[in-house]
Amino acid sequence: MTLSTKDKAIRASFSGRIGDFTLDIDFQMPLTGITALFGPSGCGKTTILRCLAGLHKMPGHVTIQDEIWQNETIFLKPHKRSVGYIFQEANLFPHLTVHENLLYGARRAERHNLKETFHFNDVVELLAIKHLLKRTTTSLSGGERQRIAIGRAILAQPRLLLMDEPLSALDQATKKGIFSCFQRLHEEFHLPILYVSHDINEIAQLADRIVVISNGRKVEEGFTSDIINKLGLHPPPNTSYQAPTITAIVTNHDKEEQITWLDYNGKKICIPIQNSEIGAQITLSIQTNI
Amino acid sequence: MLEFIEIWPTIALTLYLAGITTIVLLIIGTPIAWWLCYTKSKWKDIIAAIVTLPLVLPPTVIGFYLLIALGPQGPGGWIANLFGGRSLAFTFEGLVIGSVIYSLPFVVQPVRNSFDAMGKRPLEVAATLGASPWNAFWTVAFPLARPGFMTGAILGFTHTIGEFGVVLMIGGNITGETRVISIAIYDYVETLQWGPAHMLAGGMLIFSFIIILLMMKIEKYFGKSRS
Repeated sequence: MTLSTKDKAIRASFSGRIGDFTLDIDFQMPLTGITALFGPSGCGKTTILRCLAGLHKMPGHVTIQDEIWQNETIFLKPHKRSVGYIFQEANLFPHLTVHENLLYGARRAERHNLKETFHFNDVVELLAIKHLLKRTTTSLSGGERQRIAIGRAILAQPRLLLMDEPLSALDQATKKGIFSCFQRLHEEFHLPILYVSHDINEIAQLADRIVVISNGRKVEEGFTSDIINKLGLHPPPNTSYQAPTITAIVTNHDKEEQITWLDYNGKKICIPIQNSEIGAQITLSIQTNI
Repeated sequence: MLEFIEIWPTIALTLYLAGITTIVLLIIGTPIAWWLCYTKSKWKDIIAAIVTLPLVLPPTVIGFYLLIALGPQGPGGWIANLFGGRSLAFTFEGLVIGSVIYSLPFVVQPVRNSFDAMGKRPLEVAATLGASPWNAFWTVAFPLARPGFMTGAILGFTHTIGEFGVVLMIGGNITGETRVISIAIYDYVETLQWGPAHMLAGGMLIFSFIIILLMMKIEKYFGKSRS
């Protein structure tokens, strides 16, 4: 699958070696929504994220819309790229309070005259972390720490948010809480997210698009539901995230009735009103309540 | 009281020397510790071994080579010529150079250990949040490695105060210039002046005890705040 010219917002390609491992990949993602990098452990997902952030230097190209981050002659250092990076561990700065952690990137974004797209109060409200602001980082639970890390990254006003298995270090109950944060983030903030996971359940629920990787190479790329069906990657039954998904296109919003109309292969579907633009793709997960 | 007035210049000179040496050690030792922690150079082990050498070498051996290096025929003599002197040996400046070399591993090692314990990740996080390497050092690495800096500074300071062999070789016993506490104690004992020798030795004993206690407290405090 290829994106239309208008949607070819973010393009990345890398080709190189790290020890015995060879990475040779070229992929693209739109300027909105969540794109997942999916593959088994050790297939190069984290390396791709590190290369995108400039934390690892490998020959390749990275362009974000009209902005070149890397090509044959240019290599922007990590602090010059407007990128947010959520690691597996929250990595909060222990010598700073929660509030100071949140402002770390925000202050630097202000200094570099970056447009304030994501406001402090909105981010704090979305992540439900207002009551934690005065706390020290050592007094937080794993889920709280990860929420602060997400807030800190967003407040640095990134143009692209990278998430490297952000739920992997959390227990099942905490995962659910953060998961709903991701979904709200997806709905309310128009920020492209590249989400790395080896858990197809997470991806099926969260991602609009998916890039499947194996041994440092791209295997497939496309809408999540299409690829899941094509490769037979259906989530195993009896898991907490079990849910089939479909991708539909927003056709119009009915504000009176508070519903959004979607088109799925010519069939009309209505769902509670969404904040998405007309023409945007939405991934629906279908669940049964008996 | 008379005895104290007599020994005060020695104490003041020793504290002054240790203070200057500690500042120079932190300025020189920090980039060395940083480089040793993060470099992938093949020279890493060789440089680390050279920095650690003063830890195992007899002070007289260091003193001997320093005497040659600081003397009129060595680079020290050449530098002294620029300022109208003949040699850096038996001068306060020469003593600072000798003390810096002698105490270098006592500062580099704890600072390097702190950088090692911190790892690269906090710096990577800071970089993705828009902090330049210089900015990330001061806002993240330095505060996180503070216990290492404090330990290094205390060890460098006390080690300089306690040095004897190197000072004897390159500094001699010039009041107000190179006569430090350890030399003075030796000199007083040689000339059977037990009073001032007792005062200085007793003072050093109490000082060393306080320093060890202080270091234990620092370790405990940072250990607690980290957990």
